[in-house]
Amino acid sequence: MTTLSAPLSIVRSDVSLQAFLRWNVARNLRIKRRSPNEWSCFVETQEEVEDARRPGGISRRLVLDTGLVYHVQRRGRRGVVHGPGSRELSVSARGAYRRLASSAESALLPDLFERLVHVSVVEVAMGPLQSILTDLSADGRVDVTKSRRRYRSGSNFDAYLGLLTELGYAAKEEGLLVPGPAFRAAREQRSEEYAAVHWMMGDILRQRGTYMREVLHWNMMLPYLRWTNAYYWRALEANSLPLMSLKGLQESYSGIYGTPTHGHPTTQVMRLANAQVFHRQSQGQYEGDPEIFGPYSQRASERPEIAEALGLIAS
Amino acid sequence: MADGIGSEDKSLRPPGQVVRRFSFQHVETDCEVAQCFNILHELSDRLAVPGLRIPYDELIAAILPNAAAPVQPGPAKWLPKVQRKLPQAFRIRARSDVDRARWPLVQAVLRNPDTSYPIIGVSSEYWAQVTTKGDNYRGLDHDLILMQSDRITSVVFDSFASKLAGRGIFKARAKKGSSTPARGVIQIPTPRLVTLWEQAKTGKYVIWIERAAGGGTQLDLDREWKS
Repeated sequence: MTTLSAPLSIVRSDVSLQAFLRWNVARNLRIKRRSPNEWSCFVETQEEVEDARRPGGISRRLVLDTGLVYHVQRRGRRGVVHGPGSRELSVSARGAYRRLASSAESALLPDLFERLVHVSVVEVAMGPLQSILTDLSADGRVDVTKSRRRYRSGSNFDAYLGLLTELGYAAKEEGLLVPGPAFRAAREQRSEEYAAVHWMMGDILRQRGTYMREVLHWNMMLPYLRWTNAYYWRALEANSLPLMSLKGLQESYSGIYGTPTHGHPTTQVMRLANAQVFHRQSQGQYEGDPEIFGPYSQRASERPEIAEALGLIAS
Repeated sequence: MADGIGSEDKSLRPPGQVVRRFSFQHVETDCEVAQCFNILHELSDRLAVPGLRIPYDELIAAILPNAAAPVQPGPAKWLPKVQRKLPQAFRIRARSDVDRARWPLVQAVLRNPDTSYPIIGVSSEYWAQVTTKGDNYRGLDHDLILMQSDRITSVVFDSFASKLAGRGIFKARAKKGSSTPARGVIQIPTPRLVTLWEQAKTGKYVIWIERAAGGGTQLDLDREWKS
């Protein structure tokens, strides 16, 4: 924390107080009055987004809400300004950037899941759900007791059954699981069984992805969501689909989440490219998909904290 | 701590008994007031701390200064005002999407014997789940108190339930053998509840009361939900 003394004429005006703090604490600091004697503290930062098509990349200004506050007290003919020093500002701004990018992650999810089920490790993790759906499709019924025996106790089998019935993909009838209305509708629209089951798995992930990650602990999805966000968050900053190298993606990833700790980055990014989450171009660079970026950009911009940071609404 | 009651996992307590002294909303828009009142009074009873029993009118003044203007439930502009009314040894806390609110944190608050029950925000789609009307019935997001939760089923307290029942449009199921839906105890599949939580207009958020730092609660919770 830092304590500064300033003439009353300076602390009475927002503009002059900001100039005073920029001179004494950090030149990229911004303040906004929140009460007669308190100012919220923001940090302006210039983000450079790599884009192989544009030498020098794309520059974007971000305003980060540090959550810190300056207090001013009158003491005689001077004002005493008490608040964060430059080091605290820097640490808080870093945290604010990471929180912002993480918040954008959830705006990315709805359009991603249908593609994520084509990532091999996610497909493997969804094996039990896929088995139940395939059996329903092939036999028209699943014996719950027999199926449960195939899974060790404490597995998520009952949670999967709950999920399928809750979403209308299955219904329980006298110890049997039978197709529910959502299942029948999906099958009517897709004649090919494999495609229909994969579409259903994508839909289950889309509708209940947060539940699967946060309650059923499907952590295998995490690095894939993060790699995807590492690209699309930068695309949101650039307001376009940049052409990024693997190195650029890795820098973006570590900027938001720290160093990747699970699995092999190149393999994971390649798997996402195979699932059409990004497109691999001839020089080994990656470009996003407009069908993901459009709705994501719209949803993310509707989040007040993101819109404010990107300057889409007055801060 | 009174009679060792506070040493138990709260989620093991029968919801029907816990909500006996809960209050329902006085008006259409004071769900945050009612739920905050309820978690404070329940915590007061359980930990034998009378100072936590803040009167409803005082909470309205803190949370809804302009009662005529409908307020979307949301995390926390009013938290400092409620904080000023709490005994020094307690504080009101909130986590939102921006602070990486996650369901394991909600469950950690629910299980912790030294905290209040958690209040969670849910999207207006909730009304389509518990009434015979669609989600446009009220249009507003809502606040619920989470009473129990496992991977399959959760139990919540809805402070608007009596009004819904009174209007004959209530379709929610009660927790079996514990209470009637009109008493506000509602069973809901956990996958659906987590989705409603995620889809709140202001993003995910959870609010609770805990002992101030030094009592150990905050650190324990942080460790628990980050692990």
